[in-house]
Amino acid sequence: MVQERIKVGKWSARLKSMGGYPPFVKWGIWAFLLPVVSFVLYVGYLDSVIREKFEGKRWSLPAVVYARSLELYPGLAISMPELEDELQLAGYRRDPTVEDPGGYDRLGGVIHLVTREFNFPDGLEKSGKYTLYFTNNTLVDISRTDSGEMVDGIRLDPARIGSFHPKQHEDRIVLSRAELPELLVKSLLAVEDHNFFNHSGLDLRAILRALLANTLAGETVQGGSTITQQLVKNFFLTNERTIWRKFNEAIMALLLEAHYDKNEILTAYANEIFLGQDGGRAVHGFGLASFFYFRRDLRDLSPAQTATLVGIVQGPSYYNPRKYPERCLKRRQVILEVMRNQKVIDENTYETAKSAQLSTEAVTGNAFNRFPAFLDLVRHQLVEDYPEEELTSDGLKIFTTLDPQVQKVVEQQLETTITRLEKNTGITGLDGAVVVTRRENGEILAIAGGRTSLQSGFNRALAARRQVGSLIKPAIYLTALGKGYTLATPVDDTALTLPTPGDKPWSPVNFDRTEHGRIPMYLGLAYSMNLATVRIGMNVGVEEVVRTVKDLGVKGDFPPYPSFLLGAVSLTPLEVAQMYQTLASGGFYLPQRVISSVLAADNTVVKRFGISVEQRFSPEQTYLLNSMLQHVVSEGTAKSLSLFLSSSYNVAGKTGTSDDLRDSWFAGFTGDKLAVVWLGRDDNKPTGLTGATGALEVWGEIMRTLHPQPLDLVEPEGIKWQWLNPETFRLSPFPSLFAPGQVKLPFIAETLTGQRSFSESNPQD
Amino acid sequence: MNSKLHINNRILSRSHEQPCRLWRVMILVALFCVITNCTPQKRVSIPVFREEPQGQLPLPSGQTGTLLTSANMAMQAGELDKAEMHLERALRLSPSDAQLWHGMARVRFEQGNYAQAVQFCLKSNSLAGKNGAIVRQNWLLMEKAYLKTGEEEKATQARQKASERY
Repeated sequence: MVQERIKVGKWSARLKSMGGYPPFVKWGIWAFLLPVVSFVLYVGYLDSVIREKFEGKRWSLPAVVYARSLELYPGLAISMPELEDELQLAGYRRDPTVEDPGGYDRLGGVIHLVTREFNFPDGLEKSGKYTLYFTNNTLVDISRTDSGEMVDGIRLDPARIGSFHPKQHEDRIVLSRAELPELLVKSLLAVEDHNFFNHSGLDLRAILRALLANTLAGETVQGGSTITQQLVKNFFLTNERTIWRKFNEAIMALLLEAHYDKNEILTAYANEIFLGQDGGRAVHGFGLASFFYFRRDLRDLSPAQTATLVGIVQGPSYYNPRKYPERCLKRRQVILEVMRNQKVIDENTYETAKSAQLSTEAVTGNAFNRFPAFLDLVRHQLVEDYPEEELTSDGLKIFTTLDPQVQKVVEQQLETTITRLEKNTGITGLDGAVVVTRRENGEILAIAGGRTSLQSGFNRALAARRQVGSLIKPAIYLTALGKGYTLATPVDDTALTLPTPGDKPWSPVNFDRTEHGRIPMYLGLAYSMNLATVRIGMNVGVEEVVRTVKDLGVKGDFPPYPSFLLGAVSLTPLEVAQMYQTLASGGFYLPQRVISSVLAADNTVVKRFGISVEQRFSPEQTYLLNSMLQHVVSEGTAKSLSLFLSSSYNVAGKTGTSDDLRDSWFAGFTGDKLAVVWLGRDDNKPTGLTGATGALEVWGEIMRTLHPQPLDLVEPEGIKWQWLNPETFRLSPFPSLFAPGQVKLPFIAETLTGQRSFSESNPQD
Repeated sequence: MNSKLHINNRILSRSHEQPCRLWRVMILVALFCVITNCTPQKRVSIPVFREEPQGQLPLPSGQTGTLLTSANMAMQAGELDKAEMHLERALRLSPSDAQLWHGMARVRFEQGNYAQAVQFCLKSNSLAGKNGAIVRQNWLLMEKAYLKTGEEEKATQARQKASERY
């Protein structure tokens, strides 16, 4: 404090001593100082702006979302066209030489391919050349192309399915300086700024040269901007050509050079430069541009392709190789000439490159932003764990469970089946949603949020809460099985009236408006009989059924009204899928998973979403219920599924229809996949479709396209099989010669002795 | 005499030839055994989890087996996350393989998540069917998990269940 005062004292003394100068000198000093000070201040301001931009841009990486990686192994049911499709989605290209990573070729029953090196959450997977042999739509063998050695399996680098952009719709694959190929760097400098390593941000000679050339030509033919200036220009991305902007750019270029190393600037430039437009996303940087135009890693580009990219720098839309191939080719030849003249490439390379075709790949076919409904779900889960800021700037890599193959089938079949249903029935305005998961681990493989898949918007799979109707019934039968009921317990499917507090009494009816009399319990579910089901539900207690529904994994509070038993409860398709997941996985609650891991930009695992399981129902109880669900398909309301899938698949499933045919549902599972389909109208008007005539058809079309595995329920130890005579309700360990309608059913051993006595205590008896 | 000798010679040479062929066949068989033992399908003798030598379970074939082996190696190196990820991959290929679910239980146990270890054992049991060896392994691990969580009674029951197998 004291020292400061002394300093101030010194200054004031000096200022006072200035009082001795004549006024013109004083004014002169001021006239000189003022602009200098304001200039310095202004430069200081520009400095903070450019530094913030540079630092910010360097680290601003949107989170990238990946599909699951395709595991290829002998025995996998996949046809060659399907694999080819998958390769295209993952950004592979057909390339008869099959030399460089990301290339494949198809010859007869064989696919040759070179995988790309990729950092998986569990470690680095090196690039490799493989030959894949197919017979009858099955991958039968995999060998190393070079040595012929057989391998047990390989996995492909996953498809990029989207990224979380910051505010602007930009996208980039950020590369480090070491990852920039020397050929690219040299060519770029030769063309754009060959004095780069010597100038200090501005290249006066280049400016003069450009000025001369432009004056002589009478128009702008040559730019004198250095790489540094271009980088600055790209940061602000305005195209106004004013002296003031040029002046600012020049100052900022000098400032950048003062603060940062040449290589840092070069790397920033290579990642920042605008190189094209892919629909709604701007393609920035050479890394992404290489994929965008050639489906290749930057390091795998040929000299001709490198020259193409360098040529595009000057005008990405003017030299767009897909739109103006001739213009772009001409530009590429010019670049190649410069490369040869500057000794970047030798004469031979030049000749080969010059005669090469302009080999860009079609823009369609990659998986980027193709699946908005699924991305929507990913975003839903991510925002719970990450703030928006981290998602748009930290370069996270998000590994999801999406199976692009399944997703495509789901989208296609939903759309075509809805169109067909509308045409056949004359209904309009029909829409739908689908969720497909893996049966045993709860991973969500695909989601359709509506019939038009590319429209992001109302995602019905996540947001449409609709009455589930009979889809709730398995919960009632599951509760009953837990209370000693068996598949053969006699139940009355006869009219009943229930008092409703504060409302008029409720008299449910069957869908076909008939009563079926006394039936063994399993038929009540198989034929979705309302009367029998309500009787069982009232017997075990609605509260108990509500608890079962919650144990099945449905969250929320449900008032235990009798109408709950017939599905007067609204759930989203995703919630229904969670409910059936617990049945499909043998009574174990498996939380649905859509993300498996999150990696940081440096490939360290920052978050894992591992599998968790929790037994909610005994294996025996679930086994019996699932057998009943198989009866739904083999003989009951979902019998028409055999039009799509042969009965040998033993599918377990349930149809659901809400009041007045407003909602059409089907939920079911095969050996490996669970799917839930909902059809209805957004305005909740009747559709005229039941679960079987609507949703089931979509389900059937999807599953038959997906090579499902047959459902082979693992029989728990305590299960005994008995023959039921439906006339007498008698059970016998052996089939009888005199009971034509007899049926073999599974039982929990302990219930077999108590089975008769239980039916006697049944109040309906 | 001459012809007799000749015949004798032929007999001799034949009887000499016979064992020679047998040898060849035996060598071929041995070679075949050695070779087939090298293929992944036959890596029966590799112990799955070393701490339970009596419970050596046969490795699943192909890629599932390879991944399970990788998971084992990661586990022994203390890389539990990696082991878990290998097992998750294997489960995508063979979702109802009880041994893989048992492996997940092991990982959870090592991660100190004993409640989940028990749950994964139960899941494994539900898929084990008639595979007594894996069921026994599951009960043994559940016993250990219950001991960790201080549930002595459940541990005893689990021990009991394990001893019912074998």
